[in-house]
Amino acid sequence: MTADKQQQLSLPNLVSSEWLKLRSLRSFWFAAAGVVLLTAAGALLPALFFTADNPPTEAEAPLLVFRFGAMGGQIALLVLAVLALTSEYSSGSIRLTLVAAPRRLRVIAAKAVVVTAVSALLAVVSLPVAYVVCVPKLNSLGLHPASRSIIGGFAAHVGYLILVAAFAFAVALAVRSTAAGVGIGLGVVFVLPSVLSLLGGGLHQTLDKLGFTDAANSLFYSHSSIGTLLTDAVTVTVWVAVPLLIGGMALVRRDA
Amino acid sequence: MIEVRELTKRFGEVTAVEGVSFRLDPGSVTGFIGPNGAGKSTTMRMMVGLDRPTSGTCLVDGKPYGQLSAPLRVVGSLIDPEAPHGGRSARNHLRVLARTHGIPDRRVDEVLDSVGLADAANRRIRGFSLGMRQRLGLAGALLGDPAVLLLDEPANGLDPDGIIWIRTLLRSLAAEGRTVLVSSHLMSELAQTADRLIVLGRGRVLADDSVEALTSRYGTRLSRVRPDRPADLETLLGRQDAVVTRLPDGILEVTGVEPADIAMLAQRHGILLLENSTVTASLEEAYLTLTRDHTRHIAKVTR
Repeated sequence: MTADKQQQLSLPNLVSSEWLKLRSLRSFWFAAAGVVLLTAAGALLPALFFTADNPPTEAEAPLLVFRFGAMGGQIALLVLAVLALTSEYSSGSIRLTLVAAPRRLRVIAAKAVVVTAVSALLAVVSLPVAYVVCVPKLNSLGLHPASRSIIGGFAAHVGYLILVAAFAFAVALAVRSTAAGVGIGLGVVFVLPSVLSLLGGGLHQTLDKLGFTDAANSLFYSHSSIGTLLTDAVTVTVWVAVPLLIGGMALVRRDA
Repeated sequence: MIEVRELTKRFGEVTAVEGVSFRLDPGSVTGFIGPNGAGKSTTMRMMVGLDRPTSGTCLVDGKPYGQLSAPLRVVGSLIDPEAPHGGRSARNHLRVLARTHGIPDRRVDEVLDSVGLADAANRRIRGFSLGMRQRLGLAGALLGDPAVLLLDEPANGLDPDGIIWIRTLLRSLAAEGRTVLVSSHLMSELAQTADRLIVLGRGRVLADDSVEALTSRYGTRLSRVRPDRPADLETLLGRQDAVVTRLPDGILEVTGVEPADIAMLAQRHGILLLENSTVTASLEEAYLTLTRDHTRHIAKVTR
């Protein structure tokens, strides 16, 4: 019962705890390895179909490699971001967390910081790996993209992957279930763009931009005007903020 | 000091806890006892902020639990031994809790050693028995060296050695000046440990007193009498509205008449008493008397 003023609940301490919580589980390392592998596999897919008859331009090539890499990597990243929260609900350990840190929104803030930082780190590691894997194929086609287009494509997709993780985390907070979180996350990222495109075609409207994937992708590299940029930013914010608000309110009001 | 005031919790139509009030003072073990479904766990969950009370408050050192700047250093709790993530090692589980308050890893090793889990520190919790999980839960409760301990059925799943160990531990924690609240649905677990008992039934406090006071107030006094003519004395006692049970060896167990009155009655009718003693009322009986009409789940027994 010795009083130690240093030992107090604080956001930095919570972040440290959440980071240890994540890295002390094997499933985290499997998911992290999955991000790197799926990003590389995703990037290789378009590279395999690049031919001498129909090669991409040197500006397009890195963008295509990173885009398909991110499409692959986002599957594992989405699962990781969902599991970071729902594994606590499925095991019941969320109760221990909330007894140790009864200010619940601070716990969620600490988790969000860790999930964002880990996603950024994984994106920063996995996208270059994926590009390096594709370099021999690009070189064989005589493609030597400029550093600027490589760095531009890389940065844009790091940003995109962070947004995917943030969205998955928000959905997990709202639904508190791994199956529902991953299902909704993958549905919105992979299936919804096609559904919106079909619906838009039928209604003669451009609905694609209302989807999370399109808005998050174009937010970083295809802003033709400030208006488009703002529209994309608002769309992505709504996709992340709505589940975050629903989940946050339930977390504060409900019994743990 | 911890103070619970008029705590009420309703789940829809069901009132789990109703108007529960008590105060816990340092240096004592308080037993929190009641049948299954009496509201013990719900009360304890409200005390640490897991469940939101419908009404009422619980204050720790004058503050709600959620407003403490270092909750683990003030209140240590064992609410659910199954809660730790099975994929984590015992040591990492405690390190995760310790980090929230900046508690160093050496304290984690200390508490693991004190609950007898030092050898299993790096094993994954998934393979732990219920007894080991209880010990790990206790380690978590002791992590912040808190002044208050709230332990929900900590002896559940422990082997006989473990039960003796936990009794000693609880007594020594109280002797160090800590406030200990320990729940159980078995009086035998608390009879030798608690100084005071709060008896809960159907969400209400049925009694809150020292162990001795509860025993004498609610326990049934039983007289054991060995007369030379058991049948005659049984008939005479029956006329006095006593409840008499005749054992095969001629001993009568009598409730409802004091031993001195039995002796005088026997003397008036020339019956010789070879033995006339009082069996001390047990705490278990006192508890059963108290909770008889307040058990939420009663099994139907068919013979």
